[in-house]
Amino acid sequence: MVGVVAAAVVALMLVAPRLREPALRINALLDGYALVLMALAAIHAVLLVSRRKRQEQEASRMSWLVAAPIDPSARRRWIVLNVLLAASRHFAIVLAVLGVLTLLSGSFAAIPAGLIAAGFCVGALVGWCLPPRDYFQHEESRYSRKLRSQGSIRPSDRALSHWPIAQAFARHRPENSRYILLAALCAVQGGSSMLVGLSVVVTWLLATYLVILLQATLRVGRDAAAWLQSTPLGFVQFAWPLARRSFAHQAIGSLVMSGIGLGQGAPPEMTGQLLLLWLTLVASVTTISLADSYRQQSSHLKLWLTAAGIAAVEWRQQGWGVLLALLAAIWHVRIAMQEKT
Amino acid sequence: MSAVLSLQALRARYSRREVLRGVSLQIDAGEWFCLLGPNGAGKSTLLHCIGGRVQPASGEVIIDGQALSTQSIAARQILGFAVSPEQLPGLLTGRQCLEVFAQTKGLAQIDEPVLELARQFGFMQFIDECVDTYSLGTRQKLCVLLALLGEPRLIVLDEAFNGLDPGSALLLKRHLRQRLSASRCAVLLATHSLDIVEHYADRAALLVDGAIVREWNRSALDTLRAQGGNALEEAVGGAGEPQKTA
Repeated sequence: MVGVVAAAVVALMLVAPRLREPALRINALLDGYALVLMALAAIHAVLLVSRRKRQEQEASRMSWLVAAPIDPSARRRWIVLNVLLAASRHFAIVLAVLGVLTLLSGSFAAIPAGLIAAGFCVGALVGWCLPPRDYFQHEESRYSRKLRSQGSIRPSDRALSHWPIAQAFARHRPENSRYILLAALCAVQGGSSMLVGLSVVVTWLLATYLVILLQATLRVGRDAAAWLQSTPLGFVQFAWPLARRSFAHQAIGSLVMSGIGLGQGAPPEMTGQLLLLWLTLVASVTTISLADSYRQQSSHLKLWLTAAGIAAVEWRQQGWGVLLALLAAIWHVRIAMQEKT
Repeated sequence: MSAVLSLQALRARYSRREVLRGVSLQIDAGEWFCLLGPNGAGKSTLLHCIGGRVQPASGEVIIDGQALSTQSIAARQILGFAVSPEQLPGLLTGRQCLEVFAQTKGLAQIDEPVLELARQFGFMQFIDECVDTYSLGTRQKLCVLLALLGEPRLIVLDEAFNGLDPGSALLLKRHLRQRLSASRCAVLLATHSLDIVEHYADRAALLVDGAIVREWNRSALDTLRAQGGNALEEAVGGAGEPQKTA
């Protein structure tokens, strides 16, 4: 760890002269948006501290030491300490970023730093004082739409294709999606027409749903692989039902978002490229993850690297990222198909 | 009798720790084989090797003549492996789980005996509920029903009677006995319930530290049962002790 940090510092010092100009521009940008940053820091601190406090209280109630003769004030101190540590970690990241910017630009963004710190402290205090809300760990199925029963029980993979959607709805439950709705409403600029406002909100909600659906598909792939490992299911019979409905939702959602973008005056060429890149990313990441899950292998880091690689290649040379994604997906399908003979 | 399951010098390890140390075993058609052993002895690992969920370091698993390493799909086709209840998909209903499992086995329809057992279990009243609302016992029933789909030649159950009410446990024991009486299959059960070993098992083995240290055939089990009291308990405890202290 120390080595990595030292290497990062050395690398930073080597490239520092080149990054001076961009760092100065970022500093100017921070100065311009200092109040917005303060508000964001406050909101983040409210959410972080209130959630963390609730988690710590829950953990304390469920602790294996719950029956031990420990002073309640010691338990409270422990909760305060843990919440403080969590908040400090987040704040330390902001400080580190500002420190790097100071190193690179040679000037400290004092006003934004001070406002962010103030916003964070106020937000943390508010988050701590928020009354604990009743928190029930509902079953995930409560939030997912059930498939209509067909009366008789017939062999079918219909439920497998429904599963990622149900998982996405369970994640997109009201207590999570309300924050997204709030952010979407904040994103609507004052003075916009109702149609524009509605378009912005729909785009936010759709984009969030598509990201959550992708995450849900990957998780369901892992769960399904663990469940069906001892069956004679081949890779194609495993992956196709899990991916088909999810991908159909991705395609329809992306097309709707592109349509909204075009309606708002986005350049058609750029919209088309983004659509193609997103669908390619979804297809390749889903394929790689399902292939690795089927082979009982972890692919978390690989997925991030693949997605970053595809995006980077596409940025450098248009069209090559799509090709790279296709090759990566084919390679993984080939390996997974050889898994069970 | 033909061997439904044959394990040849099976070894398995988790990182550096050797969990199975050359286990060899043969189970014939019509046999109910119980695997006993203290916690952490390697029973579940052995079962997971048979279910293809853990890759053995060496050795071979042969299910009804099909080697799991080279004829994986054919071997899994005739295997009924009961997953642990927490591995069931919470967002699917019992009906959907049965439908998906039947599809994976390529069945044209769900076996009537399995549906009959589900009715006897009283499972049908929960069949359209999502699995994450089930109690442990109901999940366990579903795990067993899934394992029994498609007339498997080898039924592998890991502590499958945990959480079952006595009535359901009795139903399951009778159902398995009925399947075995026609020599349609073999049952491999990892358990700590010595009453099942005494009254239902045809053979039993004791696994300690990843190796089989003792086996009992039907006549040996009959003898222990005839002795009454806690003869089997003593025998199991006695056989395990030297290994533990060694």
